[in-house]
Amino acid sequence: MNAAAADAASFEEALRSPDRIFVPSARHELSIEVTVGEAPEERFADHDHGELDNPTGRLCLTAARECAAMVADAGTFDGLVLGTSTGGQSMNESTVFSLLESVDPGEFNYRRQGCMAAPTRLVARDLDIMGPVQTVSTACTSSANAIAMAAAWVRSGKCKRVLAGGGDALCKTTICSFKALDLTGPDMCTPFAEDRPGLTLGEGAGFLALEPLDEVLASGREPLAVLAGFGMSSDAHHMTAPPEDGYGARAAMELALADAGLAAGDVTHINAHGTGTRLNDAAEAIAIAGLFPASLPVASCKGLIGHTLGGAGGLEAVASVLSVRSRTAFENLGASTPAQECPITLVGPGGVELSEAPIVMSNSFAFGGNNCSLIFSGVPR
Amino acid sequence: MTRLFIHGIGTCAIGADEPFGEGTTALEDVPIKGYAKPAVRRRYGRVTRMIYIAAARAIEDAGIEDPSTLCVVSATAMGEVKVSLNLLAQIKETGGSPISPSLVPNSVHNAPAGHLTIGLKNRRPSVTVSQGWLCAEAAIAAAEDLLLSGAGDAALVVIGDEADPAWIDRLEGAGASGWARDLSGQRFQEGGAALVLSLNPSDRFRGSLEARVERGGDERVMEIAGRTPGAEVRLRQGAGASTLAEALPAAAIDGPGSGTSQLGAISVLLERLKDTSCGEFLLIGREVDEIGWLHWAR
Repeated sequence: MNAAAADAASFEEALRSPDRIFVPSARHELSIEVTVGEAPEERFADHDHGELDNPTGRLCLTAARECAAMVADAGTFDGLVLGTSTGGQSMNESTVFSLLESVDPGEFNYRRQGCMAAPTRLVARDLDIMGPVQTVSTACTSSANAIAMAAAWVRSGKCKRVLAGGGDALCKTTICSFKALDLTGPDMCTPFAEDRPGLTLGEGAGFLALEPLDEVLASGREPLAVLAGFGMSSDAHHMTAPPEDGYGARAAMELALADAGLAAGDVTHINAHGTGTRLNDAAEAIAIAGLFPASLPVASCKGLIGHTLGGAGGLEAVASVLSVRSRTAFENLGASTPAQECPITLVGPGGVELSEAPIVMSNSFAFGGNNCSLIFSGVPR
Repeated sequence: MTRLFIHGIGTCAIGADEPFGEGTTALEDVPIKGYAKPAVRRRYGRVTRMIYIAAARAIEDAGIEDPSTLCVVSATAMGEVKVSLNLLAQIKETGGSPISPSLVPNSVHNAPAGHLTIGLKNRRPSVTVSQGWLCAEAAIAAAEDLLLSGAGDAALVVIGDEADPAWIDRLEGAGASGWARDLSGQRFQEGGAALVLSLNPSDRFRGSLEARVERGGDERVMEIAGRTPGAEVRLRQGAGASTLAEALPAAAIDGPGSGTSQLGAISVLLERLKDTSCGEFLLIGREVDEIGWLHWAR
């Protein structure tokens, strides 16, 4: 679920034939003008709980239900790892604003509506997930880290079927915060472009169902893709800016390769973090260029769906799986020629056909210098 | 299950030896001087400062000379509350702009972990988890996951939350439910705690533990309790587990005043460590739909 698509199938269509869908933010009643990628408003007729007043919860539930429906024949999940950077912040905002105006905030239950774990509780209850639950909140790597943690659960035997991913809805706090940091531009984002104006905020959620490969194959089911490895690292540099040479990003990519037992030359495409900001794009591009062949096709989804913050890792993991399935590197919408300081090869209009054995890396980087790379491959024959 | 060995413990404003803070206590600066420059330290929020102090003490307690080798797990239920409230007040006042950019990086939940990894010059994997009043249990479980994934030889687990009594009074006065300032007698208080954990024992270890947060009902708690026959069982009143007293009639209940409810698990751990007659205990908390448990053995 994101600004360009309400489900995985339409997400693939949008990635194949991308169109600019960003709009001026009007929903949040702010005095500043910001262009954003707004997801369609979802309604849940079968719920009457207050949790659904929380837009991050609604986005996560929509995507989680779709993911669960795709694997419904295999049974229920026995674990959930959900990444989000906003949790119930929209609800907190409205409550605090009411109090600042000395207005009755109305019904508000912090633990079900306002706290960071609120979307996790909503999804777990809706899908009746009995077993370990975890809420990861590492800003823009939240759902990528959630997928990595879920992979660790499956590997260690803690769980057999884990729902992993996450999401974030736009809220006043995030819109105003990125504006204050001067990271959002007046125009739509153009990742890795020479004249990139900054990032465009978006919202959405994406989830994967993770199971042990051998058990899926033994059951006769066909997995969509294999999560071959993951790598996590810290920059230890600055809270909001990456080191110029992207050493933290490079470390996460190297750790993911080592975890997957792959060499850099095995990777066929990188779904980059590619926020469209000057510093992030340059640092990531330098890190990629230092590790991979110059001809490796690189693209960011953010020109299509915006930067969905805590949801980015989950949504871009879904996009990476779609790339593996379709053997396609989708277009880097907004730029096909990289800036001089971004020495990488961008995927142009029409995309790039990948090899018979595609291996796709998905990068996510965050405030706090937090980095996570995931690697997806096809199913071994 | 994989048991983790406790090599170091550090706290800030938690435990019987120190007064419990309520958001107004001045925090000392000493333990963090060796890790970050004064200009950087001035930017820390209150939770970061508490976590940092606790982390420095745990690192020293564990005898670790190079903390850059530790993977880092942080947990906070509410993050930097005062920073977030200040940010919202500015948004309300200005309509969205201008607001102070210096508030922004401290408003994310992983701000304490970010500051900590920068200060410790630590480039290892780091995750921040947030599971309401079960943050300690969730963080220890995440440390197990990271260590089993080869993220480091040891994990620095930090947990912290701050209290803003004025705002909590305001919310409760307005009838907003679920803030849990007073959960069956437990005051909502603040603190920071840190543990250094690893998969292997050393000459400094003080018992081993395992922890989980699971969604499940009372019957699931009985299964957990049944797995550790003979262990002392305690229910975390602060995390809502007092409702399980009927299901587990023999259990003792941790009393009020043991720090924040988020940090209650660490409070009980510290208390039981001091009791040399205690060789093993199982601590159970409940938070909305989840059960959190922590099992320690000497």
